[in-house]
Amino acid sequence: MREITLSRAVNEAIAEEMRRDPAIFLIGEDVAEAGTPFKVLSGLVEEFGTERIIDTPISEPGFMGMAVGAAMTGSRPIVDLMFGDFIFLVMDQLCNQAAKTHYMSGGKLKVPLVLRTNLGATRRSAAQHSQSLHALVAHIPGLKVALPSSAYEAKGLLKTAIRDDNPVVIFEDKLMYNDKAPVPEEEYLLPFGKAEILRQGKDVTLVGTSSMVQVCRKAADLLAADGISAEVIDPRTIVPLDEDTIVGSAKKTSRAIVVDEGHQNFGVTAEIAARIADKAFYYLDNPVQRMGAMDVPVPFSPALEDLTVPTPEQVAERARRLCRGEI
Amino acid sequence: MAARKSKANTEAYLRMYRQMARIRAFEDNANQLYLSAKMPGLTHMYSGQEAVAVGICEALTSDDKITSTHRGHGHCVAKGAEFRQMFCELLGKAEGYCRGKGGSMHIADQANGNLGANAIVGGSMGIATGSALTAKRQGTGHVTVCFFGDGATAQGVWYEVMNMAALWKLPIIYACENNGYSEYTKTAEIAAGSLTARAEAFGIDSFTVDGQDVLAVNDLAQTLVARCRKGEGPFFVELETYRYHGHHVGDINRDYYRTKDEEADWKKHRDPIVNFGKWLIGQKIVTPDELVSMDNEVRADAEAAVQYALEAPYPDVREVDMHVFAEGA
Amino acid sequence: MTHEVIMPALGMAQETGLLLAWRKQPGDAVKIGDVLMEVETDKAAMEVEAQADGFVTELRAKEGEDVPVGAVIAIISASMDKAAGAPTEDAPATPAATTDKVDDTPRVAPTVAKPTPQIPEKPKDTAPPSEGRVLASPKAKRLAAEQGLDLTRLAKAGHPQPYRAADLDHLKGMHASQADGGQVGAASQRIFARASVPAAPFDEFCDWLAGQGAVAADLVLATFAAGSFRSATGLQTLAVSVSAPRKPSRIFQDPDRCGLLDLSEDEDGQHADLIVYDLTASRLTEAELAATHAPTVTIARGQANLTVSLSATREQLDDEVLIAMLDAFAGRLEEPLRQLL
Repeated sequence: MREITLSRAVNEAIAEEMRRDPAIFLIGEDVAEAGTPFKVLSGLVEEFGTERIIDTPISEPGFMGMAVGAAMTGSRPIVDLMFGDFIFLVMDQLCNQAAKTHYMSGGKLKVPLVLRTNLGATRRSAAQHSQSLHALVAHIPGLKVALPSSAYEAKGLLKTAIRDDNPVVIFEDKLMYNDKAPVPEEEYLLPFGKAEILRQGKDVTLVGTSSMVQVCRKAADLLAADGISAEVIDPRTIVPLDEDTIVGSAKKTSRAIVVDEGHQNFGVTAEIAARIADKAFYYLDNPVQRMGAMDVPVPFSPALEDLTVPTPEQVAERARRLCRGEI
Repeated sequence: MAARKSKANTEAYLRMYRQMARIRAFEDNANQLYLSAKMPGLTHMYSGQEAVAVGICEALTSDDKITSTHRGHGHCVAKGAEFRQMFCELLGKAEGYCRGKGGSMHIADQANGNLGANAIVGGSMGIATGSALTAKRQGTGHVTVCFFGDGATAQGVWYEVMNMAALWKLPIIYACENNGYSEYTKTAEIAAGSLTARAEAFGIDSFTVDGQDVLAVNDLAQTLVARCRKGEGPFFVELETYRYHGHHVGDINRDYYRTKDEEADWKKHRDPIVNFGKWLIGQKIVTPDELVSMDNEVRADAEAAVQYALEAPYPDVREVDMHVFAEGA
Repeated sequence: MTHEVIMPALGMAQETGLLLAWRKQPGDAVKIGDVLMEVETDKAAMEVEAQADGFVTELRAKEGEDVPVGAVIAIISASMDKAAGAPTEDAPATPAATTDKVDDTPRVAPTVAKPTPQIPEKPKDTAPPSEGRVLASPKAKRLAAEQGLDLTRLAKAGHPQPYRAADLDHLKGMHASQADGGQVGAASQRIFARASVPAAPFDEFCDWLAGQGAVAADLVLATFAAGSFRSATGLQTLAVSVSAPRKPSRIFQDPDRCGLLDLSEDEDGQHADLIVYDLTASRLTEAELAATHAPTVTIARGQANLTVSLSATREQLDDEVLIAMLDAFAGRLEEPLRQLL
């Protein structure tokens, strides 16, 4: 199978969907000729024109709010939010308006929009361009949240998001834009709420999201060398969450570690760990472990920044300690 | 009153009077429901501002869109909503426009183009502008009116969306109902300079109109809606008006921000319904008796709807987690 | 025509209002907008205006009274026909419009039966509440309960806590004398029998088998026990758990129905109909083990004898079957070659 970058996969997903449905347009800062700072959208404006690839002023609440209104009236906007950190700027439009409109209208109004943004530290971008804020929106009923971990997932999940009738926030790992992975030429969609078991194992379950999927896979390789068999699960979407697969795996292995790049406090790791503890309690031989980003603003200095994100070595060591009964 | 009299206009005039009377009757009943503890939550009365909603909405078709505010019952009635479903919504009943999930501050009636009231001040400015973006992109010819109060002019998002609406010539009318008070504070204390000048800074044609004169409002609205349809939008209109009640029902002791004399003066001299009624009689479009019987009919309608809503069932508890997400794609 | 004046809801979460003062008295004429009374809510004192024209004909609440929101506190009538009166002790403010059940009208959303998440069924706790808590993983506790094992025995033996699933093997292998008073399932009455047979025939048989292939003595015991148990009970299928000190327990399905050399462990087996404890390789000369979830056969070695015992609860076996089974088992040990016939 051909291999393409995550960036290319996103671009293909948008182009394919825009060819299919004229109601779709893309709106955001420097999305047209500039193609975003990461060049993810390069070439789209040449095909679809500035009527459908719409450059905005630097007005995140404004164009986010407009996307909500456009979605309510028959458009299917894709909003490009240049950095995930800017999600704080659009919180009212996203959480008070988009997320609640369908419910508050008793099901009469729909808001089919996609908010594309990114997450991930270690680009030496410091505290306002490095955050992983998906837990923030996952907390709000009415929003779906997708976390692709590869080019293959980025394309399949984005296409599903665009066809969904609800507001969907999709976070791409900005460090993976240039990572290649096998992606089929033919069209495919990936369902929401269906986790992928990337590696079977029997001693410990590693649940990793987005950027942490690769970390968990590497940790599983390290553990295999020690004779510990780790099962690696990628939930793909956290709202909806494929609880059955995650809980089933934890029941099987009796041990689980949840790894996510959001801050650990009150985060995605806490939620998934709690669900495992709830539903697999009588099958657990050790406490469920959470490994999130350190609860500090992301520091600039490489010497400090690298300390804040879980590494394969740290995940593997935690798993070894679990299996030895030290935790 | 700047108006012309003709056969076609006569019907339109009577309809405007009736719609204003319906809003007043709706609000009087809503007020009583709240005060008698029959209505959950809190509510904000539109009484006094009727000419704004009616004057503008009578210039729109049901396909044109509006966005509304926490003080939104008037916009909802003016855009064509029915009393029964509105009262049911106010009381949290299953037959309400939003199946009891929205309440007073979130009534939406998409069948009549009402995209919903909004309990965040300024919260619908983006939505309205996005609705206009859909109209422009899809060439529907629909116009969107964004209703908001003077208080919302202090929200930054307005300037962001006005900028984009002006850049892209969107078919939208920003209708600022300046009732003189931003919640419990005089507008003069929260707004520097001129509101129209703010919109003009974006190159947007801006107007000020007497919001108590339904014909003046309607004339301006007709003109601006037509210009929007020709691609000449956006526009800004400041409508000078007055709210008879406090910020919300229960905001009773308001001497600290406005006097009773001031309120009495507006009610006595500038009531939009009374004044329009006098004009209709003076123009011999209607007799005093006919107006009284219209008032009575409207009031009876409202009271019957209240009774209906009081007796209507609450939603089934199974609906509590329904409509969090839309089904399908 | 009369107008009922009610205690208005003025605050955002107000249930009652304190009537500070009446500004009108019975007999006074009032107009819409006249101040009728002063009310204090959670926020502040407020002047409340009349909502109807007419005459105050009745006051039903006293100054200083805390009145529920919605209660009728005064009557305004179009004329003075109705008897006027001040509030009295026996005329308290009454809720308005009883048919509307004002008290039931929710000011917040009605209480809703929230869908409850499914909670896994909790296994029966079998540990006696003896000396403090035993720390064990949820999995270890569940497995112990399922298998009738008592984790307090591990604690009393000084085995370090917390216990995990792997520690259960150690528990199974522990000898009875360590388990002082650690009975499980005291509620069920236990029945018990013991027999003694010469060790030599069995030992010779095992030696002979060893020459044919490698079959451990404990599997021979399991096979004999299964055959005896089947003949006594008439069971069609039979899972036997075999335990020995320092060895993990294993489960065999119908070991008496396949050749001794063809025995293979059922690795997925969880449930056992019969438990066989082989203590012949240990220093123990006698033991009475009482696992509660299945009848338990124990084989220990004396000087020249094997001591075999069988214990069960009344629910598992009756006296006759217990005796028949142990008798048959002892017989097979005395004449092991009969097993091959």
